[in-house]
Amino acid sequence: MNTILEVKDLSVQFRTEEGSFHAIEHVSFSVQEQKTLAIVGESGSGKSVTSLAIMQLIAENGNITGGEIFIDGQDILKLSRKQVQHSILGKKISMIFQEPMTALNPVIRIGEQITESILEHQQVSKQEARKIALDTLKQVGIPSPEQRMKQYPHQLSGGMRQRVMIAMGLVTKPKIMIADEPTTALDVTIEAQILNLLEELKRTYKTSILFVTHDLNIVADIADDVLVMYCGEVIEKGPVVDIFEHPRHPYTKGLLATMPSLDQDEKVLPTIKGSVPNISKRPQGCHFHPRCEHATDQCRTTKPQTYQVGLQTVQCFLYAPKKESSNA
Amino acid sequence: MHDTPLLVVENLNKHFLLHKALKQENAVYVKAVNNVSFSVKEGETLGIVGESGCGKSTLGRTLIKLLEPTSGTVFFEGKNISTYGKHELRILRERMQYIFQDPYSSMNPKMTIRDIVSEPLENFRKDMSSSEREERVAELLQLVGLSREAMTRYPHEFSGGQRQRIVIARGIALNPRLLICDESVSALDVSVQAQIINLLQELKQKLSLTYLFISHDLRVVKFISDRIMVLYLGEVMEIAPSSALFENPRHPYTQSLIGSISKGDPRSRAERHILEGEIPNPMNAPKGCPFSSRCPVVMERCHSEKPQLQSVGNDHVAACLRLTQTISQRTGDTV
Repeated sequence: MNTILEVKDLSVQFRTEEGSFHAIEHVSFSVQEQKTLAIVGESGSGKSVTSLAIMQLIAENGNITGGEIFIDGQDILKLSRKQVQHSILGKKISMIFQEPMTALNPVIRIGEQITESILEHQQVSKQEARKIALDTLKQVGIPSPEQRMKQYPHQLSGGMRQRVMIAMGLVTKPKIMIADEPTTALDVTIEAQILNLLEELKRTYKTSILFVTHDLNIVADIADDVLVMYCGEVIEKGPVVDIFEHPRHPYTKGLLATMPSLDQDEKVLPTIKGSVPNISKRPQGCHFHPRCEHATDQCRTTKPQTYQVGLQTVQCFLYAPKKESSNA
Repeated sequence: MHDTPLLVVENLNKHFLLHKALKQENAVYVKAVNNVSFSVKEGETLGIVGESGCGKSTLGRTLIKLLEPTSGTVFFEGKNISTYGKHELRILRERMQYIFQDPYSSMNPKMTIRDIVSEPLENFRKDMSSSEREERVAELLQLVGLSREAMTRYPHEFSGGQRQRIVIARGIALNPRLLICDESVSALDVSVQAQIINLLQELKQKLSLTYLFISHDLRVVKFISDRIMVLYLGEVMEIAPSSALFENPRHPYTQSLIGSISKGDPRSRAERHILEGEIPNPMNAPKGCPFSSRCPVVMERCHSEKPQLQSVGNDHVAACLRLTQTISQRTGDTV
């Protein structure tokens, strides 16, 4: 199976008044053809920075300090900005954001915004572009698309706007779509509709999806593989069923346990003590150690390597191969 | 839990005037809360769920009179508070407190935590000496899991979860009977959300509080509530004990809502149920049943006839004409 997106050892740094900090460090993963990889993490985990770095949308005070990003076999960090913008972004990879109202231009009609991205990337006439736009809007389930084309974003509901965003991401038939919390701002019934739509489109358009979310329930519903991030690092990754049934990292375990269950009647929810540290105050060693029940002196000083456990990889000393002296 | 109701709401309405007109009947209103009736027993947690625009926050705000109700009566501790004036309302504030979604915007960033938490004491416990107040603040902070050292610090020095703890400390400072929590854990990260939910449960036990818990998150509501009320376009669709609502939802909207939640299990994916369509604009809500435009089992009469809440089980009511039909068929009554 072909790898569509491969990220190797990616690090991103931000300069702030308080100094320079790494938002993400040594992030590596790959997305296969027609697969969905979910990046899951809490606020400050670096999940959005990772996706923005791939799209070359890092804010001005940030820069990629190391690593490689291969899209369809090409290392986009080695290409010029012009090349990337012309032949990669929007064409081979597109992005859907959380808040479609801020991602759409409020003073331009929907139709014009969609045809713009078609004309940018395809050698077609305006009429043809219009037709593609109409077809795509139909495909994402927008009723009476002819009329919607003439409307402005504010005239659409949140769910409809997100459908328009998805249509815009799809018109160029990208190899992979990045969806950054695309349903977080939506109601639960609309969320179910949009997730269903993405699943359907993935099949018809044969695209891969990189899905960024904080919601483990969504991950359970849509992902093939899962990447768990904490404090800018990948702490665990693996196939979705393995992650849900046998989470390895104490953080992943804690995260899964804190979800209120629909079937069981618990009296007290399991919790993870403490909260995610600020980027400027990330602890030494394993970033998770102050919140971890299993933390040892080693965790407080040394960063764990990544260990393979079955189909999963875990960044935690609990899974280090046992040496003769390491008795717990 | 006692059987005496702490809060009884009867036919509460909050209508917002959208367009004035020369003739009263031509004016356009948004009926954010429409004929809502329910009661909350002492020591109970009533969850209020619904999608955006269903009126759950307007309801909460109307109850504590941040918004003036258009009509209807609210009884609190047996007294009709709908007619209360400014002075009486002030006394009421001691007994009823509100916890908002965003803890940062509900605290003054220029005040220390000591000042924030002791403000209600300064206002309502004038006989307290400053050292007594200090002690009480420390005690409150401890109750919500913060240390005494927090007192001299400012809101921005705390994480979201800690800020919500501070807001809760302020909320319980005067020993209220009823806490209205409006999406109080929605802005928090999952790992922190669980901490705050546990804290609310713990405080409820310790201080024998009663909660109105407003949220869009059905998982959280199920976890925390004894009973749940489902709202749609400002109207009550169903009220039932938490377990009954999830095991045997009777209203098609409740069924769809529960069906659309993810099971959180990668092995049971296909079971997610899709409810078509979107919440209609409340300005032109459907006539008859508000859910009629999206209902999968809609009938002809649903478009014109408004269903009434009726008993469908123990402590379980729902408003759906299909239920009226089956019940009347069963009992042989004519409707």
